[in-house]
Amino acid sequence: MGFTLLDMYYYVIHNKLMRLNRKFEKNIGIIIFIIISIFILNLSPFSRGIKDFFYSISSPIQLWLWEKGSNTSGFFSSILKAEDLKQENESLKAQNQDLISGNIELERLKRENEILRTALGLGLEKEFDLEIAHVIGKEISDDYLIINKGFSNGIRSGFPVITENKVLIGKITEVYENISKAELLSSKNSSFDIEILEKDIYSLAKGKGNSEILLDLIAREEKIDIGDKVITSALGGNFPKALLVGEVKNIKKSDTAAFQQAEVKLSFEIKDLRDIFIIKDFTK
Amino acid sequence: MIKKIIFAIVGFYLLTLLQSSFFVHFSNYVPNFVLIAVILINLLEKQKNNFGIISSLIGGFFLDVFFSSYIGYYVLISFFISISIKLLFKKYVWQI
Repeated sequence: MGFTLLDMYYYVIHNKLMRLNRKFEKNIGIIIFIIISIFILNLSPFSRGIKDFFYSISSPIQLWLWEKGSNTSGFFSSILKAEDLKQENESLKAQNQDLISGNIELERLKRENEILRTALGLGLEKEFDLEIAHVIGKEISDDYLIINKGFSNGIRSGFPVITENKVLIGKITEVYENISKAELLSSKNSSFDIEILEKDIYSLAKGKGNSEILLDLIAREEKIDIGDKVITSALGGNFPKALLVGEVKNIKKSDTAAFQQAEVKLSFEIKDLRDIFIIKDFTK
Repeated sequence: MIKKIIFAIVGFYLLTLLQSSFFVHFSNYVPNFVLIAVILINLLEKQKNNFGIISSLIGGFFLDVFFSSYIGYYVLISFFISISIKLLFKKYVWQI
């Protein structure tokens, strides 16, 4: 009838295991509850409502922070780069001389161009149906911009986003009531058709992340040079043709590969972006 | 505890806005300050507190609202980071 030492050990261990089991079940219950709640939240339109609510109340603060961040970073970078400024100044002086001579020809062309534009009525706003917007944020790891115009302003998914200089930035991928997200050209999900200016070379550009894109599938025999301007091609139909994308900064060519690749430096800096244009219609 | 939670909601909200609209101007590679804050809270809090787990849910929620297509992605990441820290501390630190 009496308890042996073995029984006592068994009793203590059994009790401990039961307690652990109860604790484990409680924790697992909480985790399963959280996961199920998240699934339900995402399947319902409620998650969109939550995002819309936070975007609406945050967009003025984000716009203010974006402008302050831009000014502050400009101030610090000018201090940090003070040593390089002298060297840069020298090279700029040399470049300036070249530019002055080139400018005379450009002035003549500009006057001619203005006359033609006036005659034909070809302004940017005439070329496209545009909506001006402000950049208010950027995602952490991905190349996405948050913009302060949304569904209520007529913005829809797939609309191209450009700067005032007709430099392509990307396209709208997510639209909320008053906010939308634009996928940058450098996003890893981005691919589009391009043309190398004045060379009649067409290629496919793919985003590499971190403000870089790669031109792929260029035949080996095609002659491309560093500094060549890259513009959009109308082949894919996603973007209007002849929008500036960037310039070739590195060429990857090997004897064994059938195609060559080229890295492209984009023509815009994320931190300099403030006012941008969304093209609502480019089939005018 | 309620005061702490309100403080965490306001703090993480502001930190997410700074992350999204201010810090991006300084570098192309901006660390995820919200996740760093969640990790620090979990590392520094006392054994019996559960504020670390709550803060991971709040921080993850704001990251999802502003940076993710789906609500839940960052919530789960930060929640599991928080749980992992708790378990590791329980096994190797608090037992000593």
